[in-house]
Amino acid sequence: MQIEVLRTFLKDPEIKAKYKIDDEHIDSLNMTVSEPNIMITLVKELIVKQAEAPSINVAAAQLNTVLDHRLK
Amino acid sequence: MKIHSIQLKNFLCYYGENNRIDFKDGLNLVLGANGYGKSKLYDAFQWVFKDGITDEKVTGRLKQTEQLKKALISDKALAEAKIGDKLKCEVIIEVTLAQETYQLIRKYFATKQSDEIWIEARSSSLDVYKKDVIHFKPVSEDFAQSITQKLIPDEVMPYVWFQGERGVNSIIDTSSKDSLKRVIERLSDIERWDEYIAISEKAAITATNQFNTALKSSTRNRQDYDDLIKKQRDAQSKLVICIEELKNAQKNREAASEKSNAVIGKLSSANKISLIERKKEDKIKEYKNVTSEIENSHLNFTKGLFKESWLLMDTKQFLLKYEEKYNRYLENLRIRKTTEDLASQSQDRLPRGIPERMHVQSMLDKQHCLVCDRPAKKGTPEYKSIEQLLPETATKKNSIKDIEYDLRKLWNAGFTMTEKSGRADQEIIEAIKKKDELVVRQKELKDEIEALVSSVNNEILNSGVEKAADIIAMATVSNQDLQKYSQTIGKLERDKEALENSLKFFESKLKSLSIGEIDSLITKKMELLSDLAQLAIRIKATEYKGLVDLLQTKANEHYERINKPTGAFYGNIKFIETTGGGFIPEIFDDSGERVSNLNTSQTSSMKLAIIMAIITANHKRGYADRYPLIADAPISDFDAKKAKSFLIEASNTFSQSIIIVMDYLIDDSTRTNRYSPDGKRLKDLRDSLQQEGKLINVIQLDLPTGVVSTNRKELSINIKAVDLI
Repeated sequence: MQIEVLRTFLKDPEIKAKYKIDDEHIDSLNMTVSEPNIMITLVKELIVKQAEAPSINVAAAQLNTVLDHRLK
Repeated sequence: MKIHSIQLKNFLCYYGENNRIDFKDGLNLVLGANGYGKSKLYDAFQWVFKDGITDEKVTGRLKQTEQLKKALISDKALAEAKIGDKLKCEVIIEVTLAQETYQLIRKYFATKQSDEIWIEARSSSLDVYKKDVIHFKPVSEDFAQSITQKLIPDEVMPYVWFQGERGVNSIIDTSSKDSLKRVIERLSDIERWDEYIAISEKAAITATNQFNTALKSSTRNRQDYDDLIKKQRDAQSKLVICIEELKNAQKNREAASEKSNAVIGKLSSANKISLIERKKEDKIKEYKNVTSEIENSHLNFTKGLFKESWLLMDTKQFLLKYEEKYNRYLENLRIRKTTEDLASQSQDRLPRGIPERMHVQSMLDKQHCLVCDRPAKKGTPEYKSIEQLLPETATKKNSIKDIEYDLRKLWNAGFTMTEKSGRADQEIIEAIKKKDELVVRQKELKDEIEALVSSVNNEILNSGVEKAADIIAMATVSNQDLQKYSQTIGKLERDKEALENSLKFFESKLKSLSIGEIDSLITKKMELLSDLAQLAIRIKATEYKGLVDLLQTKANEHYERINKPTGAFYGNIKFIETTGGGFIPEIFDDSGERVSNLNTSQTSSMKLAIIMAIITANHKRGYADRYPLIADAPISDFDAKKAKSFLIEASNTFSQSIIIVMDYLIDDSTRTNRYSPDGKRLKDLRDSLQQEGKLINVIQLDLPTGVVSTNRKELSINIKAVDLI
């Protein structure tokens, strides 16, 4: 289910163009495998945090933390 | 969930303990006439799952056990209870969920303390058992508490369990723009998309704040930074005001739109009624004119008798007679005149007028002729001769002349009138013809007016529009408001876009100021999270539109399959978007014209098609397999063909459906006031279902011999499986 939501997010042409995401890449996606494309990682984290985090504020903070680690 | 069986023990009209229905996969059709326990069977499901039964007074609301108490128990059981008896009312439903079988048992107790007094339990209890190989064992209290939600969530239940037209109306209210919006929101992931937006926006704000803090602490380009921040804040303030104004304008437009939508459905009828009314007014005006013309023609006809001398018709003979007499008179007059002239010529008398009257009168007074100077005693011939010299003679002659003149005038007048009366025949025919034509037109107009009145009444009856002028006026005003607010919104949206562009510009400028000054991680993070928030907003909009389109497509598929076999017109469903994201389902014909004045059968089938679409549109979530349809009297508005096509469609949509109907029953020839299943129609339905690979299980609710449904203290129900072999 979450992978379907991820694919739905990544259908967006604007985001695909900006972050260089092609259809082949989208088809091969997996929720559990680590992802080199930072936007895909971010969307994945958004989907997971929405399902798991106790509140919106916590989920938002966790997204910032994810990026802090990833961009270091 | 699959429902295996239901057992009803002393529950409402289901007296005793031997009331069990076994359900199968496919269509379970429960047949029952009015008063035979159909709705009480539906109530039994509601009681187990929601601890309440349908409140007849308030649509969509349940009456809970606390309000009902011993009213839940069979009246017959209550009537038969002895003092000290503890009566139990119980419904047991056996279901399977995820390959586990459960029994849900709801119970209620009441004890008879005296003839008048019952000790009633305050509430019912729900016990849940899970099948363990052979036996059912109680589940934990927590599990028991949550099982009904697992079996059928609150947000799904209204769409798969409903009762008659009232139930369907409460789910899909075609006059409410929010009804479909609620459907989409409840049964989709749209709320989750709102959460994605909220999380990503919150994360982006945090990253932006972090960036601004870092930028503020940097020292390079301090003046430029301060200027940009000032401009940015100014633009932000303006944007906040603009958004607020935009919201207000949108609210106003929405209110105008609601008003417009409230009347739009009636506008077509209102215009039609108004047009007919105008025609009627014109006809009434013409009718009045014609009536007035008829009255005038009658008056003119009467006047014509005198004015046009019609009274003298066929009187020419009198004129001829008069003419003859008049001619005779003239002849006599001529002879007399000739005689007088001859006498005058003989000179044996004094000329006329000589002597003058006073001298003649003097001679008469003196009784002596002064002409010949001789006595003329009164009464003598001499006296009479003098007397003849008086001017009376002339007067007499003059009066004869006058009579002649008058007689001539009379003759002339008679001649003129006779001439006129000669034309009377034609004139009278024309006058009568004109009057007849007017009477015919008057009758035609009366008929036309009556037809128009009837037409208006029918239109009012069908559309419910009583004051067409008010509807048209409301539509005009709300459309003007709509136009006005739309223009305001357009302007504010352009302002908003300009301000947002300014903010983007300031943001990019600030970023450029930060190059080399601020950690690129902070800048990159801000950009990524901002992109994520924008992405979530775009995707939600796309998803929402996709859901609406999908729901509309599915609804039309169901709608066509329900209606097509009937051969009657049905059109297609369109979800008309309203401001504020609402939708109203409406029917359009093949030429794209909105169809007004839908009959109840069309409306019901449209709503049922939408309900089915909700299930099929959620195909991925397995709604059709997870939730059985339970519907009481959903086809009461349908004819036989449509009832059949609906049942087939329901079977194709839901893995299991329990449909309770009063249809498919005929009078039982062997019993008085009893019904038996209509085998012919049921077999036809079964054959059609078999062609679709679907099964049918038919159950009949019957009353025991001698029992009448109105005598509740005697009432019990016989449940029979119907064999279609």
